[in-house]
Amino acid sequence: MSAQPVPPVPSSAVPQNAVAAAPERNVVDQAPKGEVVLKITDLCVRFPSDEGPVNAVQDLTYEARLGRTLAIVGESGSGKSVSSMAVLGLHNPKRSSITGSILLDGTEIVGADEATLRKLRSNTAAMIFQDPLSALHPFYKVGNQIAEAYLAHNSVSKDVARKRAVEMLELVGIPNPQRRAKQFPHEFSGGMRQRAMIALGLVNNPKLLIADEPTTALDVTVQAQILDLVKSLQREFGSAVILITHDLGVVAEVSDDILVMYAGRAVERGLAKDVLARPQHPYTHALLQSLPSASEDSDQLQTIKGTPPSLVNLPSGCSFHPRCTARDRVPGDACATVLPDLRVSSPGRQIRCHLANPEQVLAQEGAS
Amino acid sequence: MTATPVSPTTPTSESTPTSESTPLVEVSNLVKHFAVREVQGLTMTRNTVKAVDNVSFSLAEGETLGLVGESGCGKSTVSRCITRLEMPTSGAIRYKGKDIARLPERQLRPLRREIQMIFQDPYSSLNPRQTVGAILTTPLRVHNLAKGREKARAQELLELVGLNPEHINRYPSEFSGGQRQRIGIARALAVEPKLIIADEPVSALDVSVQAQVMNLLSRLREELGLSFIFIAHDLGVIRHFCDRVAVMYLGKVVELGSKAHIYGEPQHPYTQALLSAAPDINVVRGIPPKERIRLVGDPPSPIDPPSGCRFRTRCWKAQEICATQEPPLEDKLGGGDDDIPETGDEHVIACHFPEIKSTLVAEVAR
Amino acid sequence: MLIYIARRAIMAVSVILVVLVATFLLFFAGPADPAQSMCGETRCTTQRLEDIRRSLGTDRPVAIQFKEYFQGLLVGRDIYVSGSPKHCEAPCLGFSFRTGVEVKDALATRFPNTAMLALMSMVIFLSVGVSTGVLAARRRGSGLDRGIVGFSQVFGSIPSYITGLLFALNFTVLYPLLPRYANRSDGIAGWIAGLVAPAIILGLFYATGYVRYARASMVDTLNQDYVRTARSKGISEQTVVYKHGLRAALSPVVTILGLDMAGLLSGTLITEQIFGVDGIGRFAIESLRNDDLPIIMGTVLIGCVLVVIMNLIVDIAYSFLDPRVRLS
Repeated sequence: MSAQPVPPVPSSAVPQNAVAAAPERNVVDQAPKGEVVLKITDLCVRFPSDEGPVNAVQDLTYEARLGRTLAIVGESGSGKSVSSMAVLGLHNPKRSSITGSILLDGTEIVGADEATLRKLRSNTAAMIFQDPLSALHPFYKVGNQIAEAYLAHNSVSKDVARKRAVEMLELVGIPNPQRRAKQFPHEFSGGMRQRAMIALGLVNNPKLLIADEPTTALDVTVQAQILDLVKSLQREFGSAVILITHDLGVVAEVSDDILVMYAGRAVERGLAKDVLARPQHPYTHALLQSLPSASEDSDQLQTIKGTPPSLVNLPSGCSFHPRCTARDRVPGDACATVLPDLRVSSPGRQIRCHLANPEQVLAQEGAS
Repeated sequence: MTATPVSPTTPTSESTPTSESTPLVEVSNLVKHFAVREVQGLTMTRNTVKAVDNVSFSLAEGETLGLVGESGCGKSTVSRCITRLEMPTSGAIRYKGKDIARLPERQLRPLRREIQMIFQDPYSSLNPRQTVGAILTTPLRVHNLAKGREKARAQELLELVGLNPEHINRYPSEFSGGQRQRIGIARALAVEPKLIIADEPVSALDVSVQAQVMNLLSRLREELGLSFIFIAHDLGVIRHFCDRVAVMYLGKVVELGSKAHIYGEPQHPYTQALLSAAPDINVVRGIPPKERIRLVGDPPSPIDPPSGCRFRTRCWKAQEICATQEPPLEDKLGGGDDDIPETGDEHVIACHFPEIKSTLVAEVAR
Repeated sequence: MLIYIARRAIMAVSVILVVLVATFLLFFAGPADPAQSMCGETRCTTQRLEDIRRSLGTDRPVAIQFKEYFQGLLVGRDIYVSGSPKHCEAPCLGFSFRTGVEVKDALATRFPNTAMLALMSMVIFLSVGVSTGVLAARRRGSGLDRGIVGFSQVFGSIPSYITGLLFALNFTVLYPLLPRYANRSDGIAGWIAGLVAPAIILGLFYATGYVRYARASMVDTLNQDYVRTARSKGISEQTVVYKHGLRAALSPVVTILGLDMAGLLSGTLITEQIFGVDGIGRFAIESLRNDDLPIIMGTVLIGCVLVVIMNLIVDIAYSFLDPRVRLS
């Protein structure tokens, strides 16, 4: 038996009338279950460039909770990766300017010294990267690379650390872990490599795991395996997971909460299921509309006109307004002049948009 | 193997009254092996990568065929053989009835004009030191087209793909990824091709730009009457764009049929697994798929593919026969096909135990 | 595996053969006439010139000369030196036209000087070059980085005969901190001390290149994903830079090192000349001046064999350094 059909997950009926069906859980205003591991407040990340400062992340506020998966979604240049690298203090302080607050398990990361960061990295928060082939060192054996992370935070002998590495490889479902630990990354297949990367991430049992596009470089059938693995490991260890992705399908598979970013700012936040079923921000809505479906025929895809803005020279007002189709539904010239706040639009949902009744407007947009 | 009856390529099916003419492209028993040498220190091993092994399909004029499969399945190699960027090891590629598989370079010249490629990476496929004008006029000069009015033609092309014709003197670096892909499309269209081979044309693009390029390709296909061989790993993109779909696994076509067949009533376990694994927009919206199939492990290496059916090592239906006998690509459950009467199109599967099973979400009415 | 070794060996031999033929044709069939230069300007008669040519063997067709040379290389041959036959064992490189000394022996006495000089300068340029390059890479964009890169460019573009002469003048003549000449008769310590001055000049000159290679390679490596992964493990910055960064950054440097060492081992012309090191390079210049063809051929052959050998060593070293290396 090498594959088993899994029964469908119970479908939660999606009511057509979305506003009336208020979500039962609220991730934003009232604290849901799960201790807060990471609390980011008003984070701004800027990089100097020849053309001027690049505003990679602006006014970002969110938190990650134990036992929950938060998906951060956006296109390239939306700031999703930049913000999460800041959580581990991985930006070179000489080549970036970071303001705001990142509280990781009670420790302030912004402005922290190297020694503080070192203690937290891998031990409290670990990261998995997109391309496991380039993220693992090509010259060192996989087992040793995992053991190195364990040794950095535990005063044990090398042998113990190596045993731990083998255990971790076994845990992530790598057959023959003893032998595999002694191999180099290039001797692994793509899926196995990403499993090894996950083993490396979890070796110190961190409270927070940040997965940056963990399946983008993988084939679909392998992607499904890796997502299942991340889900089951999270259940087992109860850690918080931040999943950075551009793929809304991946979000739907594994996330509890979602944060949609556009041009460095959060534009929509809420429960993943709700946001994907009934997006309230015109950008989220348009993204969902532009996906071609494998389960139904489509004649013409909805598109978002234009291209994402330059982070050096952001549009005035709402960054999305030049591409927004709902812009004329906002009275006056607010979209082009006033930057909307990230406000609570309905229980458990925040959007950065001037629209007073976004769901109605977007429902009409979708129909037309 | 060559004795396998391959229905789409036999002469009898060509002369049936239903088919208007010979297919535009007819690939029969295409094989492409690569010799690889691995040298480490003072040791060396020789291997053969069986990238494409006995692949047959045909493409009618004006039709779009999708090639789908995971990395290493040979879909790109097939396309590189058709454009003759690679010389096939054996087999025939008939373009308008003429076998081009072993044509010498000189005689390929005119065909190179008719068959054009669009590449995946809009960054590395355009020469950064050439202006857009130069990129578009070079193929015109090579093929002696639009003599004396190359620049005007280049501007027409830019307009055709939705770019500003004024930007003819700009360099690729001044354009965004989506715009570059448009330039790549304009370059392919410059020589007025009949057939476009698009190798993952939208997979390097952001979601919001991907839809724009897809729509552009659809419009151009209609306006210019192009035929397409469209390679992608995204099943949603394939469904949106293609008439027929060939599913490939480890150098073989495992299932081939109309879009309705492949998505509506897939029969090969691999197709079913692929459809089940692909995150779909309706799943995104909260409608669960009918069934989830999780394959175990990665695809085996094409250097040493499994005996018999190549999918058997990951297949939940595999039995003894699967290891000993390679299933031919044939119409197995004929009954299922009668549901789609017109077009006379076939639905062929290479599996010992085919079974109609839809794994996608139920058809939803929006 | 055997096939691969055989293939490499055949390739190496054929490269050496091509270079041999080319050099032979250049010198033996070219306008250089050693007999003329030995005969002298004033007292030279046609008869005397002919005699010298006959004694050197340069009066016969080039093809025959080459055949004999090649034969000597493989099995040895008899050569007439001042009228009497003298046996020269394989690999025979002939006898010096000028001094009559066997080329093999002449080269063997000079090679240790060149080799020791090459090794000493390698120690200097590797340690100075790589450590400075790594420092510049870690402080990329800073004033220090710009200073290092700028200095290495300026220093590297001053011809070594100027820096070499100035250095020799200052430190061995005006302020004699270092011995002026190296003699093997002074014993090992004295010999090495005598080579310090030229080794420093050669080492610093080469180091300018290694600063830039090491910097470029290190900058590239520090931007790699696996360095970011290493940093995210919580290990010290030193471990990140040296264990994860430097190891990978050194692989491309090894390629250049191989070729540079082949060049250095086959003799440095100017440095040996300035510091009076009796090495292969200075010997080659002398024999060029004297049209002493067998010696020129000998030095060319040494250089050629060294390049081939070093390339092989680099390839093998590479596959040990980088487990991914798969040449095809």
